[in-house]
Amino acid sequence: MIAALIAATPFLAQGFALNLAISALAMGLGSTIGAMLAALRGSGRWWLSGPALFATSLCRNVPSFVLLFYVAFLLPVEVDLAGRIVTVPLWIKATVALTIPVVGFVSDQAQGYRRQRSAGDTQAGATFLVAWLQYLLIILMASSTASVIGADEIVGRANRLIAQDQRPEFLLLTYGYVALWFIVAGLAASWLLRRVTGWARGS
Amino acid sequence: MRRLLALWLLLLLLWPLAAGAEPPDTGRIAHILDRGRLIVGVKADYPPWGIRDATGAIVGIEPDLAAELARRLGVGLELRPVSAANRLQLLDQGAIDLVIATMGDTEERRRMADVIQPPYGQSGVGLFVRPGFPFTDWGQLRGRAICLTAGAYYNRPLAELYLVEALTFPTNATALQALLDGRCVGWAFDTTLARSTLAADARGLTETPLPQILTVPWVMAVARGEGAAPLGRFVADTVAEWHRTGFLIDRRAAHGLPETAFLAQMRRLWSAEGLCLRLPDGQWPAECLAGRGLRTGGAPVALPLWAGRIAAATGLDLGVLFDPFARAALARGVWLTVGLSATAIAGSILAGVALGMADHAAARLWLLRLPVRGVVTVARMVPPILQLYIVFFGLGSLMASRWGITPGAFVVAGAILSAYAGASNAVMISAALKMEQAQRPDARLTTLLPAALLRSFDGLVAVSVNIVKAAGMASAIALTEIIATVNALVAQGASPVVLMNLLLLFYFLFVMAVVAIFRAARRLLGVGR
Repeated sequence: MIAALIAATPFLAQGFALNLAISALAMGLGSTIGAMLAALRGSGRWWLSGPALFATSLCRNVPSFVLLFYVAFLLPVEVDLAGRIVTVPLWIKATVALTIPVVGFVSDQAQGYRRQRSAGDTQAGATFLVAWLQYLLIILMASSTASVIGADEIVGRANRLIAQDQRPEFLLLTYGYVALWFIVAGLAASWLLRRVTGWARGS
Repeated sequence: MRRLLALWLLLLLLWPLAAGAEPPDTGRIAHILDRGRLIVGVKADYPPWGIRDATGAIVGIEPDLAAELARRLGVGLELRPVSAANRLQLLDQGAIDLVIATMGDTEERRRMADVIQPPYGQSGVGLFVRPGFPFTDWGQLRGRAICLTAGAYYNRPLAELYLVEALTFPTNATALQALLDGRCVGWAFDTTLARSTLAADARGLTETPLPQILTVPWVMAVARGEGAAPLGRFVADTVAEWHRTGFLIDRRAAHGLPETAFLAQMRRLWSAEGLCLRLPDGQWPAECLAGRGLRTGGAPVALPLWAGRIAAATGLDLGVLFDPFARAALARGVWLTVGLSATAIAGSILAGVALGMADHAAARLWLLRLPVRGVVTVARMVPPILQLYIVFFGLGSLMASRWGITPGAFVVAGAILSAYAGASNAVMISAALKMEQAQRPDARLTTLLPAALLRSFDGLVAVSVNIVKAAGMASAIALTEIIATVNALVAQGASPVVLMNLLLLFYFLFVMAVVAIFRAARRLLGVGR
């Protein structure tokens, strides 16, 4: 069983690369849109802040687990690129689904940052950064649910291995091994977090 | 707030119109030839019908059938793994051209897709049990827990006709493990499944002598409207020819399955001179088919006038809201979701305060701090869905074999979600305590706590909202909360557009309520905005 897992390691590693790519793209895209929404909410004009608040609460309230199914349902399955029919990859759909909660989170968090800044809190920036990096970790964890719509990430690939060898021990061993990958990535992220907060407080 | 709600309701009404506005794809076969590939949805966990080989390629009887169809069309073949729960949705969305995925012919499925006649196989329901199984009749299983695999056609009839208590798992492997752990008295399975690969016999599980029930013909399916179009006719004519030449019997034999009375009878029928030919209306004679599909849903429900008008105007089928079985299931799903969320929020805040204070208090004692940090790290950095599997099947199995205790899905999910979110809360509370102490170095930890909670308030709300939204993952360990219920009802033929929009509306309101409760709590803590 262990030999089978070692043999499958490159296969799982490729899947994990997709988890990282989905998370990074979703955080980048979502933060940009979320920051724009927060600016609109703070604009002081009701016809700008109203829709921005509504969009934020929509993004905030709907689970990415449900959005995955929704996006899979709404985005086209195939697009016609200069006469060639190309299938839209499922990981793009997963990225879109995971971007939506990030938009809601960043919009709210930026609002909180402005409130703390105007109250004279010099640590507001550090608080924002800590929360943002925490959320990056949450999105990385959530990227594992992209397997429910068939995206080829690490948990989906683990499920494929388990379908080949349906012994319960193998199920546990494989899931445990995949968990280890997430722990290593999480530790790397929190090392980064410490460096960044140290830097933020120093400046 | 009221304006927000009105806007949301308006959006809800417009969304399905936008989603359903695509023009119907008239010539799927032209699209396939254009693309140069036939995309077929097959099973990848159902030996010997469809399973991955050592290289990861999907092989089996159904891939063989798909390959022969692609060869006849003169195009390439792409096999897409599907599950019982998603295959007809993928077909409806156009992600796949054809379903050949161990699908039984039921009336509900005939409404969701165009079923290809004649069928290419037949199966029924059997039961795997542990040794010492005392029952001799399906009727005796009334009220007993039975493990099921999500999306199977027999799930609802077993619950409705045989009144078993259904525990639904996402895969065969997890359902089997649950049976081994004693969570149910038997696992209901399809009698055509090759048993050797399940490794069930090796673990002392056996098939019951209970008679096979709920027999259904197996059919291929194309998207609605394609059955009478060139694609549907091509597939149907090919299957008919396979019955005449014995191709289906050969493919089964090549994968180690014995000949069945059903296929032998079909071969006799279809080989008879001039018997099984298309009638003037394009249908096959009834005597050449294996009978009508089984009804696995409820009896047809009478819609009130307003719902009928909505259906006529928008095509939205609200029938699921008037089906007593579906309504009871949805109500139960809502209750479980709210209960699990409340448990997990309370648990995560308690765990966050306890771990955060411990972490802060032990700041200078790294020996004490290390175990706290270790728990926090593992709980935060393993995806909750993996934690659910590992605890439910790993620790659950251990406890079952050592002490004969099997923790239920609700308990496991509540604990995991509390630990996962509690770890995130602990990090924030610890950091906030540190900042507060920098401002008030002489204050005691307990007096700093309210200010630290207020400082991390937005983060706590975000984590709690996140946990409410993550609660749906508990469906992976057979907790029938709202998302699992919606998916099960959609797999049974209810309108996905109606149920998915209702699900979004439910979560929108639910999360809004959670945030409102937190706002009230912030006021109670004594400081306004």
